[in-house]
Amino acid sequence: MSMEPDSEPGSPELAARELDRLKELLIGPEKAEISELRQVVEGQEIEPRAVGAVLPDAILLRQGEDDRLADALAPTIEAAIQTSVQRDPSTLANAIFPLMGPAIRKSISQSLAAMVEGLNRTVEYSFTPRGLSWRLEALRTGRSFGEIVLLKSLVFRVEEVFLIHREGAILLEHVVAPTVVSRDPEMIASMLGVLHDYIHESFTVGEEQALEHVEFGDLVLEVVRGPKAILVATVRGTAPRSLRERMLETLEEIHAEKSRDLANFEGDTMPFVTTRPLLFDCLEEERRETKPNPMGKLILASACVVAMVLLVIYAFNVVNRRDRWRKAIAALESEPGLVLTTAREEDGGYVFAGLRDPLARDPLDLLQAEAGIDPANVSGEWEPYHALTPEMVLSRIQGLVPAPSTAEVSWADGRLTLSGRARHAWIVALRTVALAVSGELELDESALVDIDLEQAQAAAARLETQALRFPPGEGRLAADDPRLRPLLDAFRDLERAARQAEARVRVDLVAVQTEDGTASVPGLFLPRAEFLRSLLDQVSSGWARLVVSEESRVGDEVALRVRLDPAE
Amino acid sequence: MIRKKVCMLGAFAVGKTSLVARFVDRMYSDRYETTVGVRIRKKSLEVAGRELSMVLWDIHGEDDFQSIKSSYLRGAGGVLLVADGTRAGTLDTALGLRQFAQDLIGEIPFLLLLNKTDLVAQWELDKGSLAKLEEAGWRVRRTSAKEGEGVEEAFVELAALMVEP
Repeated sequence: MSMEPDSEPGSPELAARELDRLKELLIGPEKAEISELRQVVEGQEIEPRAVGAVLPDAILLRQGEDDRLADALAPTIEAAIQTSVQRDPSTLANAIFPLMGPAIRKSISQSLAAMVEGLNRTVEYSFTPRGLSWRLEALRTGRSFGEIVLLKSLVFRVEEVFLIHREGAILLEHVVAPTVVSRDPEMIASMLGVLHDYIHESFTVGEEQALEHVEFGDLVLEVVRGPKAILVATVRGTAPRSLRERMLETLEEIHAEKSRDLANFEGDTMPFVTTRPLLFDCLEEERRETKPNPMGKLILASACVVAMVLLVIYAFNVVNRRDRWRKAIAALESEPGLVLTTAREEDGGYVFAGLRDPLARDPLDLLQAEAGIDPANVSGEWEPYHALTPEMVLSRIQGLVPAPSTAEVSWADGRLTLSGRARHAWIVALRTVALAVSGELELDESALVDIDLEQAQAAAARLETQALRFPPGEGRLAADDPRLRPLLDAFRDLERAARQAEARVRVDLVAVQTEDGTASVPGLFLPRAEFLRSLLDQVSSGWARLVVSEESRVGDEVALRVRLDPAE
Repeated sequence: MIRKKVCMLGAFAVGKTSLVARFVDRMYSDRYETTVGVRIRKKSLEVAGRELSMVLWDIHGEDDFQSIKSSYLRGAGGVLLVADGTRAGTLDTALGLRQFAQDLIGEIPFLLLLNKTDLVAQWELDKGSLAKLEEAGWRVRRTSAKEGEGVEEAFVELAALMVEP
């Protein structure tokens, strides 16, 4: 040990320095480490790098001990995911897209395949004898035909799989086959537990023995048991032995993967969601091999053809019937003298009813002629009435007073028009009837010739042209004088025609001068006129009025002047 | 989802089935039908923001002829002990069943329901015994399956105890 030159031996300063040197020699390296540890312990912030170095190992160690780390981290992770989605949903969507896309496609394709397969089988069995018997069975049992086809064409199908915790028979997870309707799996799981316990405690069975197989008609329950959980499959049909082996493997796998969750189970079923793929793999099914049946296809094709033909016939009948219906309505509505009030189809036939003028066409004839409807298929009452339409008025008049061939009755411009030539009696009758039928009617007779009046006028003209020359100085003619006959004939004709025409006739016997200029003899006209009147009176029917006119005695010859006054 | 098995325990004719029917179906029937074995019912409800499915095991009443099978209690997450207020003996049965359950499955949440408060004038229960039970930490609730009094509250309280003990 050396002595410091500037310190007195035995002084306190010297002693302290000596002690420090001694410490340096004895615990120098450890002292430096203790100093570093003190800095770490006393430091306000933990070194991130140091934490990062130990964190992965710490998480692994803790995860292996219990679930508290997962419980602690779950809220933070959930909050982080929520924040991420709220901030930008595409980030998470992009991250899980590679997983979701194939999963969705697989799900859709499986669903479509199942649907197409089911449809194919339904169609295949639809028209076969076996299919018809199944259809009868479907009717009898109230099940759908598709369901019967599925059941009959299956060897077996696993419809549901239950994963149940042994303690308390609580359902952990459950899967169901497509198209199968599940009824409250939780209660089913509990009841299965009750069933097992009941049998176990009611009968003398060993602790290791358990319920494995339950048959109920065509429904079978296959049960496999593990230390902590039970796997139950509901099977329709006859399940092969391999199904139980498959179920056992699945249960073993679940026990291996979820041993801690099963051991610590306290009601939370979330950890068992991940067992669904394993359970889905147990939803096996096997169908009977079906041989293609050429006869079945032939029958199916024939049935399709027949159905098509029947469909075409039916469509044709429908169209034809509608066409007939339209034509019938149009014909009845446009027919004068018919008023359609009821038209309907009833029990495959037709009902038409309304008002019918007796002169109108028979509706049954009309329907047959215009619409091709068999009168046997038509019913309905037609009440009689008088139509006042021009056509019906004209028809009624023509029915009561038929027109002669020389005359024509028509309707034009709102007036009843008579044309041609006709006897006076017919004209009078027609006027009367027309007025009676229509009540109020305008008649146009401007183109109509009254034959009787025309004949009267002709006879009158003939009468007036008869020139009678009395012998000079004579007041009479010989009774057999040939000139008298035409005159008397014309007079007779005049009277007859005028009577027919109801025309008043006046025949004046007037004095005229001799045409050859010979001097008239005074006083001869009167006896001559009287002579002629007496002759005319002898042949007269009394219709014409004979008047000897004395006012204009310009000569001694007698001439006849006729005045006709047609009836109003 | 959380699934819990709840066992209804009590003497015969104390109203276990009626309490379950009142809670699940909100119905009550005067007709008495003895339960043979177990009836399973289910009711879902939300507790503390979590969905809870209560699978209710309505176990037949304890009497001289039917003793409760121990397997019915296994895995239970909660127990409702039911006594009939008008029959003092049913409280003793409930206490015995409580001990039976505790020996079998250990400590789990439970409530003691004194049923038939609609007939409270005919009650025979010793108030001192009830007070002692409450002092010992028992949750004693009064219910009427007939009128619905306290039924919903009792089931919901047990649900809360099972989810957040």
